[in-house]
Amino acid sequence: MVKGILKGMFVVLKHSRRKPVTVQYPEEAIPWHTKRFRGRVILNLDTCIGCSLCSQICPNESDHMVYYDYENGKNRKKIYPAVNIGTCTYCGLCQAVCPTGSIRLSNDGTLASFGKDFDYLPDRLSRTEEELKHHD
Amino acid sequence: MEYSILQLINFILTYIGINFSVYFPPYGMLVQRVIVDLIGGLLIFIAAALTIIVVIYIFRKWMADLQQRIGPNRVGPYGTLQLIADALKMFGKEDIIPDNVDPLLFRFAPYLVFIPLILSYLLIPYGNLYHWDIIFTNVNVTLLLVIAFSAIPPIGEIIAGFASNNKFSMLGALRAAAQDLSYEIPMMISLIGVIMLTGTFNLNSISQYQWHYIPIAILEPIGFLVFFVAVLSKMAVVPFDLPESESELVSGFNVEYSGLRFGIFYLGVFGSIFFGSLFISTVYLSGGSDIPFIPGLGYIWLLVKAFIFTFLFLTIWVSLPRIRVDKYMNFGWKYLLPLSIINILWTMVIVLAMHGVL
Amino acid sequence: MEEKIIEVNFGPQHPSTHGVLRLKVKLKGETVLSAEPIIGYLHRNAEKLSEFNYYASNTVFMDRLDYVGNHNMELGYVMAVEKLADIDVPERAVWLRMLFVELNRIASHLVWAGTMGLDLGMITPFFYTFRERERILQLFEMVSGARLTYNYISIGGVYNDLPNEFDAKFNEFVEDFSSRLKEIESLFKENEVFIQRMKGIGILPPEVAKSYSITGPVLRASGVNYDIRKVSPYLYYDKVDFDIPVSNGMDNYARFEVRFREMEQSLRIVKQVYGKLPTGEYQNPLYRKSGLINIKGKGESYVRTESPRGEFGVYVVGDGSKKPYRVRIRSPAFQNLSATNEMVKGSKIADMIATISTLDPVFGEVDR
Repeated sequence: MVKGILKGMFVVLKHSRRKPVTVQYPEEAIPWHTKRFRGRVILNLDTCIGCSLCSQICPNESDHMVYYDYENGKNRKKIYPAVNIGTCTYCGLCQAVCPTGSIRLSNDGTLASFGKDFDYLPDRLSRTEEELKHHD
Repeated sequence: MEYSILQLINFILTYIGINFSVYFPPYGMLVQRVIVDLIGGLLIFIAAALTIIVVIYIFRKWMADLQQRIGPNRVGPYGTLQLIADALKMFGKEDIIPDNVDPLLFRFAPYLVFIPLILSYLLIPYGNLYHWDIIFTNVNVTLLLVIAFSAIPPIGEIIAGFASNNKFSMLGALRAAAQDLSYEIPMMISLIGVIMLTGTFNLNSISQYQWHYIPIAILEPIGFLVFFVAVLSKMAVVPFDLPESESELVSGFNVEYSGLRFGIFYLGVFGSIFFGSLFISTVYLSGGSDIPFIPGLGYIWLLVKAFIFTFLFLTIWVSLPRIRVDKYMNFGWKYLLPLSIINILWTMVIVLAMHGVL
Repeated sequence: MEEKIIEVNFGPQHPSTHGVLRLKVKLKGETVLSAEPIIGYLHRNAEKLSEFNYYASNTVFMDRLDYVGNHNMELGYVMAVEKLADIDVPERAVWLRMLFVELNRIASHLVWAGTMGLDLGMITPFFYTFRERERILQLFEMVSGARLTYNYISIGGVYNDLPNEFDAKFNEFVEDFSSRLKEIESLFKENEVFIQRMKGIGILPPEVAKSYSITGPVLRASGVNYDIRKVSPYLYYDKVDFDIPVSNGMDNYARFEVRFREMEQSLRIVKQVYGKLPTGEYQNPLYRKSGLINIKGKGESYVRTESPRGEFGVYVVGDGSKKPYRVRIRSPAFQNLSATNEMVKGSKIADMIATISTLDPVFGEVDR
């Protein structure tokens, strides 16, 4: 009559000997953090040709083109993508569509900041992954 | 030579110079007695509160352990101060009395659940430690008093549910009433077996009896089982947490409570878990009486038994689904009650055999 | 004495309504007289939004439909668009899609098993199922870069190939998953209290199920052998070997059993698929990079797939532009939920909760 109940209890009790699977995040690193993790959007200003494909495919219209005074030779109109981090869903479509691989999603998932300027203009987007380790 | 813990308190008071019995001859004895009793009561209150904290900590850690989590580990060493932090948070919360509740009953209900529980901690004979008997109440009806006190909290739950003026809490209150009826009768009838065997209502004598003979759990296995299940449902934890049943009635009878009042209900659950463990080990497993060959450690022995039961109850809590309310009442009336009556018949056989009739 | 009928609102803020279901329940004591599901609290306009975005961007919205079986949602939409625009998919991409869709089915059913335990008052199985799901999510994250909204299946293939470290992790998962699954099942399966709560509760006869156009595990638990994967195979389901678990129990317990058997079958499929994975392209080169934006289609197409909850249909109409003219989604969870009243009428409150949990609605999909 209580065989199943006891069996269930036994299975549960067996787990007391197993190691916890919790990762205590800020102290411990996430062990499965992969290279492909889609985090903060970054932009390589030197290769961007200003084709605006990323802003077209962006489903939330968080990626939009703005004028930014930076000369790289290929981008004659000097328009570069800006990303509103507040509405970005990190879907990675801008990275998928970019013909030159200029805009891509970095590994950096720690986006908390004290400011309210969610619209990341090209100068703020154009960080390398090395720079992202020391937060701005 | 054995002394009671109250005598110890009296000794200490006399030693530090507080002894009224010598000052006012006719009434001084009484005054001294009252002071000693009050200090004893305060001691047991503090001890009970501490035990509840320990039980909650054990519950969290043990549940985390069974679920491959870590459990509280941030506040204090190994998270031991987590409950203090929680209590402080609850104290700091706004005292919300919703509109349309019955304010008097709404305020009153949590205490009706908690105070009888703390009072019943006074009645358990905690056995002896070295030469000192840790017994606060040694009247001849402690068992009856425990039953009487344990009958009050369900009424508190019902009042809480009705006073909240919420449909969910009302359903919870109705369930509490139905559950109360279903477990309490088998519980008492199974205790009748114990009384028949020992011939006393005194818990201390009952535990001593088992030390002289054998634990009643072995003599009356059916009664022990019925009592175990009844105590489990008295605690109102899974699988019998019908008045609360979080996934059905949101939080049942205490759905409108928050802050300190909710905290009192929460403490009440864990308090009754440990009290149930103490009670069942006292009545059925010789309680705080001495271990053979190692005298003077009855208290520790009682605590060991009680904590084993606590762990068992907590394991049952985390590993079973909730029983349905009508099935539970079926179970109470169709299985527990007949079983407890069979237990009485069985006890009769034992008693007659002991007296050499059979 | 006359018993009063009380009307209670279960939800949308209720611990066991799986999100934002609201049930208007008429109660007589503990007995449910009728339960009327009210939906729409999670409406995000996915169908209409799709009309304003490029074909390729819409997978993002599909991800957010059934947020525990996302790959299945993407797959349905992507296949509809591929049918509309006549797009070829490389072989490896099809196998990869199948791999992840089936893994996702396991993950989705694991979420269901855990939450079903919670609904019945069992806390512990939830942690075990989520522990296992976590390992699947790690595989997904490794491949797609996200843990919940993968956006992995692209029109014309998949966005990424398997990374190098996938193999080890995948084998590790496949190796001990079936034993872990048995362990989780043993918590429920023979437990007397669980059986008492599930057997004979929430009866859904096959005729009723058909009349409500219920699909998926719920239908199969009513004894109807109907699975799109067998009825009209898509992807390469005709090239792998698997069974469709069917139960004649019609009750909650049957649904519980069917879902656990389905996880085993999905594991079987996953093993076969991983063995058969060919080398080659993972994405149609025409629809890579800027090609993604140039997908055009004219006409209409309807594709149905078997999502973890049942028949998921996507109807896409194109007018020749780069954006769809209309996207319509046939959501299985929505259809399944419509039978709630039929199943819970006359049972107890606790049974109502158990029945809804075995229907396994996900409200991103119900409300769209």
